[in-house]
Amino acid sequence: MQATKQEKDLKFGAKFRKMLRKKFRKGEIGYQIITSLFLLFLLIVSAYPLLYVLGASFMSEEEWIARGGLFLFPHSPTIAAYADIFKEVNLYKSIAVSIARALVGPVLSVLFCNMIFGYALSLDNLWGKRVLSVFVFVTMVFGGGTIPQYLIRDYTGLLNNFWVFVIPGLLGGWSSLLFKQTFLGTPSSILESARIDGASELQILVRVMLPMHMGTVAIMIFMGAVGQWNSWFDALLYIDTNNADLIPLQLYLKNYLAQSTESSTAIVQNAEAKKMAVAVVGILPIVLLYPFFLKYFTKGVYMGSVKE
Amino acid sequence: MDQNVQNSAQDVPADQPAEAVVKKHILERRPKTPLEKFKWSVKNYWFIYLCILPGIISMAVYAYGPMFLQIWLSFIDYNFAGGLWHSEFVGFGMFRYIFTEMPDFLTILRNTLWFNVLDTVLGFFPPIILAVVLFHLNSDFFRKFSQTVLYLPHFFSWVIVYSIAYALLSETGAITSILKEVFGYEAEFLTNPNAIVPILYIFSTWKTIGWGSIIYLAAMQNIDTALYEAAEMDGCGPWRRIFVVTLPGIRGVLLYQMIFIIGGIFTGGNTEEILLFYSDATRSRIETINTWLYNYGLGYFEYSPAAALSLVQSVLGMILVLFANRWMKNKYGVSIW
Repeated sequence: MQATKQEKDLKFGAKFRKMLRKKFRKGEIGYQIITSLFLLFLLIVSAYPLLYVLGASFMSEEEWIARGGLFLFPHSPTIAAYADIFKEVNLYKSIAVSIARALVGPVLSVLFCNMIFGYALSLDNLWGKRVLSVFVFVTMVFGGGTIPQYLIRDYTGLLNNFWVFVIPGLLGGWSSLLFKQTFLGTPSSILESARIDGASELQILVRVMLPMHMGTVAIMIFMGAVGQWNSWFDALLYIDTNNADLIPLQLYLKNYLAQSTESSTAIVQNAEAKKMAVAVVGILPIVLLYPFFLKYFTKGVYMGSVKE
Repeated sequence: MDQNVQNSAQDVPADQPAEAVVKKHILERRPKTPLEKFKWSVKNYWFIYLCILPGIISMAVYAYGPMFLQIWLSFIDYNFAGGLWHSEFVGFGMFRYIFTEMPDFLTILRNTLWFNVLDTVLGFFPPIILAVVLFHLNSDFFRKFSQTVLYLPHFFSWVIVYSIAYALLSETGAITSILKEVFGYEAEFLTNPNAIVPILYIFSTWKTIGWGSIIYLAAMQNIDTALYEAAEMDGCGPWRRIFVVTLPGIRGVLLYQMIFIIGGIFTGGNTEEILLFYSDATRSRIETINTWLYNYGLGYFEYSPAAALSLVQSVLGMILVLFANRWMKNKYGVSIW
């Protein structure tokens, strides 16, 4: 089966090690050392900014002035910046908006729209299947443009409305086609036996398909949640600037950064550390959830992008 | 197989030969005409149709609605008094305005194309290089660790990326301070028009390099190991094997990605990122078509020119994708659909 072959191939370091053991070929060790050093450099460059932001958020005012921002980790870490930013009631509101988006969005769009749509497209005899495929495919190639999208949301009353984050993106071309491909990979004997046992189409989806393709479903929900958590541009476009009840966290962070730039007394107010603290709050949920979904990434992206 | 099979299996007379049973009870009962198929489908799948309806409506309104509205907007001269239906119909006037009179047009076109050239060079090669390095690495632990660290920035929003850039490069940022205190050099980054485009690309590469390499790594896993053994037999060293086995082995994916890059020439540059780094000082270098649509189209209510420009952009993009796809298909047999 395909899966076992892929799993076997996943350990692709093994084959080079085998070749290496067989014969220490000329240049192999040099090659490994050079590329490892290169990778190490890349890792440091990648990780340094993150550690810097984390460290900066724990800096105290005095240390910032004394050391002039030249550091990786603070000498005397303090949570003063966090205590300061959590005095702002608008931060709580933005966190609530972002959490609501990240929960409601993926559940409605992935579970109730994309998955069922993908399942419908994977059915053999569904009338109108081809039309539906073309229907979603066209939206992947053509976009509407900023202005008409704004006007349509205006006409349908979604401006300054929480549902503007959810409803327009209910059905996604890429993810429903990915679900279709996933469901088509189900062995047909399993589906036949479920049908012979009298399962309805919905039962097949929930009882057979969902458990079998749990990895794909989980990764799609994770990606949807991350997408919702990270988006700010839609709020910038469709939510009033002073409507603090609907500003998501990332837009709050953007405004926060801009605010502090204009202030001339930024260093005195410990503004740098506070900005970094808001950024850390924006990163934290993703970093915490990331390890649990890591193993699914290769598979999920691979299925969506490569055509055999 | 479907419901028909299951029903007909029960009333099969035992004494008839199998072929006749199949013919009578399965083949003849299968819906044939479109109307029959429609009725059969509605009877069996009505619930499925009901479930996908909300998604279809949302897509029709919020994806197809803007497409048609854009075409209509670009043929009228929209004003708030007239609205959609009573504004003056100007035919191709808006397109003529864009190409001949619009003051910024050449600047934003140049910036967009320039961004895309950088996108091809700086955005296309780093993930491939990273994938090659990771693939030929002996240590599984080191590979897994690197992948974990390098994929992470993909999941951060552009605001986070900007806040990191701000932390490092603003007046009080780490790199600016180091340059000032160690080398005595007063550097200016985020408001420097000459530095802003490289900065944008360094940070977008930082965000996308790891994630972009996944697709190439996945393709490399399908390369036949025997090819490496054969190459080794013929005296191929570790550097050479990259060019004679690994890269040719993922040729299909490389060409596939090229089609998307060619198709994006007029989209060029990540709108969200550019808008975050945007400032009046750097405007002349980083104003692209997409940011113009936001800053002027929406900001100054130039709805009709923006719609027309956006329409030109997407039609050109579409033509380029079709052209690139056809060219790749004829020449290399690679197609995106």
